[in-house]
Amino acid sequence: MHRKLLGTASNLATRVRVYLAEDAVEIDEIEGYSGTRKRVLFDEVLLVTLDRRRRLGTIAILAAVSLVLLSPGLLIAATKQDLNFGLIWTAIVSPAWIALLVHLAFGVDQVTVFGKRTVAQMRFAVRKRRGREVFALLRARVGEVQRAATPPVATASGSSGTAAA
Amino acid sequence: MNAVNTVTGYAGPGCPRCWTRLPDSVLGTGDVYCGTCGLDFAAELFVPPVQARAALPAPEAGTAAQCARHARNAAAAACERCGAFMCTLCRVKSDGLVLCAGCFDRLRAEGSLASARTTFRSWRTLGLHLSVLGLPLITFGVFIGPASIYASVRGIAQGRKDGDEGGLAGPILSLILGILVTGGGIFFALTMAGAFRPPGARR
Repeated sequence: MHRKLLGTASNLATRVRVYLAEDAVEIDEIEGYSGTRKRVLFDEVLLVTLDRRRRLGTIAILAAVSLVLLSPGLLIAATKQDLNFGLIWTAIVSPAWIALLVHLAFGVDQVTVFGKRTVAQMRFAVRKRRGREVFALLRARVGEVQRAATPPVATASGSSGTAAA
Repeated sequence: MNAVNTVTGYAGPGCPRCWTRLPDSVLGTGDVYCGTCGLDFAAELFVPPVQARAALPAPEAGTAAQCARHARNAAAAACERCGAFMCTLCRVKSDGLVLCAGCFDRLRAEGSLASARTTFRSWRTLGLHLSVLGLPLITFGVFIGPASIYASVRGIAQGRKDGDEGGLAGPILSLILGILVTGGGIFFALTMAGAFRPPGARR
């Protein structure tokens, strides 16, 4: 049994890794040091979506971190009327506010697979192209499996065709 | 991840952000706008093939329905998922559902049945945390380091058993850090032992 990592999606409490297996999308949800494995079988996939969004939680956290890091230095610079100090301090803590600006500008791409009973989600914050590739791969793979599973039916002329499910 | 994953809680395909159920006519257009949360998303709608059911033989007059798998057994129940008749041998009760063996296997493989869900220990996470923890606690490296190495090796083996392609960077990094932590701990221990050497033995 082989499986390939498609993407991940994590929050503060849970880390999720989504894999492409032979007959399903496997979801490993890891909370602490124990994990649960679920599957979305290809022949039960109902919908695959790709969207781009700005996450309020991410924006809030990055904004809070930027504020906490920037404010002491900017306060000192304002008190001492030292512009150079303010610029240097801003440059030192630039990763925080640059991350916030990048997130606001480009968002996060998310691929979602809806099964009959289970949902798999993957996020692509930096590798947007990877997200589009995963979306295309899942569309192709699910379509291929479901077409193969659909039994052919005989038409009125006697030739066989694929039954509409 | 906002995964809606219980048998009773999942409403069906729809918006991937607010989970609003959307009709197939909307989802089938390809480019969808969710009126509830304002999200634009690309969608590919699928219509899964209907599983063909085996034709059950009609019961003889005056007799009870027969089990789909054991023709000589009377049916005791019908599967709540596929409707097939089941005798008492085939019937499986799980999570409040009465299922046939085939449906139970399918739901178990999906992870939809809480009582039959596959769980595992994440050795790679444990190895990574131990190895990172060992760096500031290098004084206890002789204990933390070997534990980290053990967990990292188990993590690599677990990945191989699961058939993961790639993904070894994390466990290998943990392994390397674990070795460094072990070495640091041993060095610290030897240094401390040397510091407490009797005065006459010092050079």
